[in-house]
Amino acid sequence: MFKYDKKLAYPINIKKKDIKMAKYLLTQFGGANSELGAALRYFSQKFTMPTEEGRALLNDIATEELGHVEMICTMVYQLLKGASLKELEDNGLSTQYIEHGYGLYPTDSNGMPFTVTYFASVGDPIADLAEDMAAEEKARVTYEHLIDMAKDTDVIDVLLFLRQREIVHYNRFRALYEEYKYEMNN
Amino acid sequence: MLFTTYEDDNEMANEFFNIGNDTSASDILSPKQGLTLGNLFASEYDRYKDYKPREIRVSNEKERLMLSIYELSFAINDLNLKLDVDPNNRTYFNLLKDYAKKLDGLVKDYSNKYGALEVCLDLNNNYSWIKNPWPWEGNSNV
Repeated sequence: MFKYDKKLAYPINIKKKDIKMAKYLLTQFGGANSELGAALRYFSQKFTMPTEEGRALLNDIATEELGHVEMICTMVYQLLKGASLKELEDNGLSTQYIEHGYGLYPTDSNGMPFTVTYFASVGDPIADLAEDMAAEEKARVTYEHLIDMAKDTDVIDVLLFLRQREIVHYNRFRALYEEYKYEMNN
Repeated sequence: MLFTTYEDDNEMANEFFNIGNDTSASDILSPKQGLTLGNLFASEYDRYKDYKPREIRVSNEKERLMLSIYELSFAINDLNLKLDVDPNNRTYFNLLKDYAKKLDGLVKDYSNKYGALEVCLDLNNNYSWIKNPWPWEGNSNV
């Protein structure tokens, strides 16, 4: 089960409204390389990992990713605070407003709703871990694109942190993948 | 970025935080450095372009305590993932135990003074869980 701690994984305090950035960031809530996709991917895959190490790693990274979903939503929420309907309209979020008001809803930056077809779980640790490594690399690139577009250091600091976590997760998945490969061949 | 090596990134981490040479002991950064970089292990740090992560600033005792909680939680999480794939590493395990003990004290201290961080730590006269702000609300440095 899960237990809630009343804190984020990394503190977020964005003081400047930025509707465009909120729209871009939405993709890490509900897009193809999103934190939500990551959390559900590893959560689904953990049950069929063949070793103690594998079950623990997939469980623990899935949990961390759920914390990252909360961080992305926090950024979107803070960036939209006080935005007028006119501002939403001028920055391409009026259609989002029609469907969801100011509510958070997992879509990509173009408003395409989240779908579980963004990830796979095939019950084979080698195939699942190969997907996981690719997913971390794609999420890293997405964060780099977001950092390229960001102007406010309050936003950039958080994105640098999240990007770095993708690198750490990639390394842990790779270590497990290589161990499984080695065991298969020896 | 694509072609920077781990050595370059080590140098960057070393220069930024004065952490000395990359021996296995100094590969583990402090919880403060770890949270700032998003990575507890200097040799794994991967810089993006010339962005330099900023240290988180706090302005009062409450925020200082909360920042320490953030830092220790981060370090524990990163040691946790490292130990998942290297469960017999005593260095990591001893550090995890040390940080876990420290974190436990700080979380209890904070919950007692400023409102519960976990619902089971709501031990004073009034129910504080709904009173203290949710972490997504912002308006403070941490």
